[in-house]
Amino acid sequence: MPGLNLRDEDELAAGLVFTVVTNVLADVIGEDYLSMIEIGPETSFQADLEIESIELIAMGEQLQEAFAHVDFAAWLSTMEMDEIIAMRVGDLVDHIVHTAGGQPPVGSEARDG
Amino acid sequence: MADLCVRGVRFNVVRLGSSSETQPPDPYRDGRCPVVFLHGLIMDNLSSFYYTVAPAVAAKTDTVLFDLRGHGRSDRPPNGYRIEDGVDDLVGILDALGIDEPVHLVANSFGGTIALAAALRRPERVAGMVLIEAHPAFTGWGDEIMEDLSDLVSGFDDPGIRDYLAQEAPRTLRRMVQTCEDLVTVSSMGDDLRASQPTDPDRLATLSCPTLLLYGENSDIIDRAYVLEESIPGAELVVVDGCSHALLMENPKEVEGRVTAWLDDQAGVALSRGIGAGIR
Repeated sequence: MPGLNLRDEDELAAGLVFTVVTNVLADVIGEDYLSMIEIGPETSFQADLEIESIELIAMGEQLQEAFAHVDFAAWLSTMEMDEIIAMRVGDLVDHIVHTAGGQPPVGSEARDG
Repeated sequence: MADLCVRGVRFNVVRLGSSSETQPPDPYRDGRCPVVFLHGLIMDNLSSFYYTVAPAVAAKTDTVLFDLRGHGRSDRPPNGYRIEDGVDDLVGILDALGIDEPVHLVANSFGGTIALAAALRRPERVAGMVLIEAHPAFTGWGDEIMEDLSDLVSGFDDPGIRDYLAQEAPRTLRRMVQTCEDLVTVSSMGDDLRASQPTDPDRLATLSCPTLLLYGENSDIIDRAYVLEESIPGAELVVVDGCSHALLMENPKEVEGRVTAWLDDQAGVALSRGIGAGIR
């Protein structure tokens, strides 16, 4: 993209990823509940969204379809419970943006299975 | 992979594969069967294995986790909760996934009830079992379990608890209570479990699949461990020090180590048989 420096590209990617993450969250947790909360990078999965462990897995599964380059199951399994509890939406977005081999989420065709 | 419709019910299914590029070479690779995890009753779902034993197993072989009917993110139909239904659901899910070879079942508590029934009813689909704190459905088991669950649910009727649930309780707790009440008081689970075919200890003697039994030293159902050990030919029992019925949550690393070592052993046996028979 001409005229954009690396920082802009990063911000653009983070914005796109953030949109996908919030859409997935609405689907997994339910639009009704989510409409009461404004989601931002600082939103905590545990303290703010009260996400259940089974919902976190469902979120990972859906994100896997959007971002094939990130192994969400492996990433979650390396985390201790207190790390998962402390995780914020921004941490997840950063992880997706900074995992090597990333492609823009829009029109991603690297979906298997 | 998320939803599979089987026997008219939508099941939440997670399939984890071995990503062999990132794993060290596995000498047992060609001897491994797929592994299916079966979770416990009411408060449980596939997350209890997903966050504990499943990743280590998935690093080695094709791995399937699913929420039992009425549990987790699977549908909660009003009926179909007999143990035999659990077996048919399991087989239906394997069929839908195209897994027709025998699988290893790794099961916790009520999951073990289903695993035992599966091994008896559909032995051709079960290569082996790891039963963690399994509840065999011996005569009277359905009454016993539903009595405990009814006590639990009637506890929610305390006005103070109702107020707390309605006003300040976290969403996760409200959901858990709702699931529990739906299953115990609304669905036919109680009648279905009582009407299920009991597990006859004598029939367990006909099982031919390798079985590992893992129980906590302080488990309230440790007596079942000894009956299973005696009844299932060749069953190996490991009693883990200092743990209760919640063994999987109390000592996940020990369970993971026991499960993966047992799966390696089984794969080794399968390989040596294959080589002996000139299959490979």
